[in-house]
Amino acid sequence: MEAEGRYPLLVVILTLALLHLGGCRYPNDVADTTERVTAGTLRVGVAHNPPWVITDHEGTKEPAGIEADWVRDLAEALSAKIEWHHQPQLELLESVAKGNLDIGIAGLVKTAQISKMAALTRPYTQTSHHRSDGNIVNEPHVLALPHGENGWMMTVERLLEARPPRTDVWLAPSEQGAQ
Amino acid sequence: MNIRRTYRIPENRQVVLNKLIKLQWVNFFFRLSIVAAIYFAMGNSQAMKAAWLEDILTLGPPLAFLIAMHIQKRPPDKSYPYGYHRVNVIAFLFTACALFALGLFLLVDSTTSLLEAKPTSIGAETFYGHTLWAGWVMIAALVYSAIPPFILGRMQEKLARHAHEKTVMADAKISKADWMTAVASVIGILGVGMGLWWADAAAALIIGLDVTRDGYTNIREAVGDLMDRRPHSSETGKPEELPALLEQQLMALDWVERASVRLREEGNVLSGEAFVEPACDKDLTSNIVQAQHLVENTDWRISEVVIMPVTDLTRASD
Repeated sequence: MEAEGRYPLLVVILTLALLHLGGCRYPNDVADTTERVTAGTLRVGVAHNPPWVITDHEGTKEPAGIEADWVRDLAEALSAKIEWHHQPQLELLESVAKGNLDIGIAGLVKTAQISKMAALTRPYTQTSHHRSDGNIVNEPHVLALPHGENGWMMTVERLLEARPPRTDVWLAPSEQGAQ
Repeated sequence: MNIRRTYRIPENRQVVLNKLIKLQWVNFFFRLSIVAAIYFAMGNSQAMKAAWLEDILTLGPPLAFLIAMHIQKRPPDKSYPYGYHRVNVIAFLFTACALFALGLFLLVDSTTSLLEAKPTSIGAETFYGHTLWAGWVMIAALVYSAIPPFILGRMQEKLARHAHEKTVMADAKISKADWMTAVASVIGILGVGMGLWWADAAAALIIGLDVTRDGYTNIREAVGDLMDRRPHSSETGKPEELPALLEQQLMALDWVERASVRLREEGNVLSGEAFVEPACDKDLTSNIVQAQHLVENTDWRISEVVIMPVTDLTRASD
């Protein structure tokens, strides 16, 4: 088959990949989020959803809650300043997906709909509650990140693993699911 | 009613055919394992999804071949006086249509995501306590998926050539496209890791073009067979020289003035008519019987050639 002639684009990508692998971070970001945030500013979208994210309506106080606390850990690890952006959940997801925010926290539970809207981390914890019909519903909690920022995704995932969010501070033992 | 004689495949060809049947079983189960492997590593990747759908589709050809092989063994009967050989072509056409449809689907899907310009996100995965980029897991699965079709494709091609078995020949092409697809997907994922958001979709687009082209070629081939197109070599894709050879053989006979042969493919076998212009009519019936015997033993693929005496061949073949 005349394969060599039909895959010029792939050859170009492969060559670029080999040139790239030498020095750079891998996987890398499309919009260089990791580079910009490190020792810079971390733009965090927050939507009130206790006990995960607790904000006041005016947005004057520092946000609190499981995920807000953890974002402070993230900023510390990257030596970054935090810029809080208060937004309703839907707008927050849109801003994050577009890359106007670096991370979105809103006590998000992974669903098919949310998975389509933004890139999600793996669930860092799972809660469960009894529905009125007696069934148990599991809720995997995730954070939202911009699409295509794969280096940034790995940075966040590695910290989620090394220093998981302190759910025990905010949740009663009965509410804490399996990690 | 006249029912065709049962075509008897030469023993050495039957041996090759049995090997092909075994090979296609192995092929089927390998492909099934690949479908499972890719499914668990699929994640969000466009090229990965493309590869997975293509892998599911590639389960069809070996199955179709095996079923057709089972049915075509039946001898001609009252309902099917010409025999069951064409069942091969039906399986082939069915596969070709599905392949073509998939190719179009991949083209539309990857073009849409290129126009949408939404970068692909590939996250983390934990393996035995190590957290690594899920792209590496996908690449590992893709490399695994490339090895069996690479090996099997070569074996298929070699054996199918011996047996004049077009379905497996085309399936060998699918195997080839299959491992190339996997390599393209690996490059797409490497591109995504470099921050080239379009690499994944671009790789899927190239795969789509490849599959569509394969589907188109196969449909043409299968439709050609159903339309009684003259036999084509499954190796070169060019018309066979066999009709001309038969004509020469017939004309070499004392009693034949001129001869003209037409053949068609019925799955793995050939059949057709030979029009002969006798030089003299003496012993015509026994001459024809002998000539038929001669023609049908020229090539193992020939199942039946009817010999028709005509007075003026120039008019008969017009």
